[in-house]
Amino acid sequence: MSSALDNISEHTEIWLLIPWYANESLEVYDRRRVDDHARTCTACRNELKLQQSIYNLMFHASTVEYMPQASLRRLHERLDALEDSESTGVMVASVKRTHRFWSAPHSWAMVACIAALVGAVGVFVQMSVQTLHRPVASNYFTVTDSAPRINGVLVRAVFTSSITLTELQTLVTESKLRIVSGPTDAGVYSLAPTGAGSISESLTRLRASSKVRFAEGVQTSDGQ
Amino acid sequence: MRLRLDKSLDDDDRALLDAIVRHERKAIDELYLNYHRRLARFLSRIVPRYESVEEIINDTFMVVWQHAAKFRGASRVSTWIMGIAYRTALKSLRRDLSAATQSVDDYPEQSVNPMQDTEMQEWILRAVMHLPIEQRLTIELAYHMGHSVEEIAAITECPVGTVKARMFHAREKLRRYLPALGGGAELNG
Repeated sequence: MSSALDNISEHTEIWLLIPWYANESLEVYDRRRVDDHARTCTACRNELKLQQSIYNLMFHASTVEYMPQASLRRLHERLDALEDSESTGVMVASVKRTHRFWSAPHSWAMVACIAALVGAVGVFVQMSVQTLHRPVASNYFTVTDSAPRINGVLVRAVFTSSITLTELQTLVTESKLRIVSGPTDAGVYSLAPTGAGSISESLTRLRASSKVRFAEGVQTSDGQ
Repeated sequence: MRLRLDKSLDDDDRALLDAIVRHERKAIDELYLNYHRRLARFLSRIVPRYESVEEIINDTFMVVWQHAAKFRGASRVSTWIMGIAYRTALKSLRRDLSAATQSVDDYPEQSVNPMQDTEMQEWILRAVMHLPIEQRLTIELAYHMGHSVEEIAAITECPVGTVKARMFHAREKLRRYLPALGGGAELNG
């Protein structure tokens, strides 16, 4: 009786471990447990094959390639805004403190005047230092700049906001193009031919899609 | 060998986090570029829009920038960052979950029996998209990203048992909607 219950419990535990056997992340001890159990349990053996197949299909499914530089630039903008708001917050707090000091009905008015003056000078110095320490300009290259470093013909395209990642990837691939940069802040992608087919065919294919708002060929040269 | 490589990478990441605590922009740039591909791979399959993926990645790194000092080293840096991305994506998905989104029960039980790998792949990806959010994220973390059950527990801040249960239910639901699985037939591949 006890042995039968143990077997059921072991089967349930192994059943729950199967996905991680399939993705090869199980520790050696658990891996051996699954191996031993699967030798005598047909259901677990079949489930193992099934989950390995699903894992292989999902793990090797293609995904859209992203161009990180464009979004890194947007992150920098947000970090700049954050730093600006933080420095503004420091300034406001100082002004409030000074105001409270002036409003206090005490007999040390002269001392207050001096302290406020020192505070104001402090704020000014702090702002000056922060301005000096703020990065002057980013020295990184972003591929969403208006000058993709590719010679020849490119396609500039704008897609509808409702387009999904899969649709975008499929459409670009079917048009025999690949994304070389974008999207810009205006949502413009730069697409280069993959080698097969002509640009005009690619443009025709893009323009036939209801998911494309705009598609035009542009000539680039001299790496600009 | 893998452990040594992981440790070395984690040491590099910790050094970058230390620099981020000192608000060094170069460090956040490096960490961002190191992780962008991995995060995009994970997120591109769970959020429908291209722009949303970028937005979630940037939200994640805003948190990293502001809270790097709170990282206590209880997990690897990669697990910590994946956890932030996971929670950010979860919020985004819950926000976007509307009547327009089909629940798993609305998913059509088509009598398709795909024979080709590509068709089966497409079918599985579509079926996964219709799983409840937590189950969907769990199966993506396990099968798309290859994480262990312990890593997923750390990323999702759940007990290991909860992760196993979510995966169990995800498998059962996939089986319901994939005719080739229901009959016990093996997939190609």
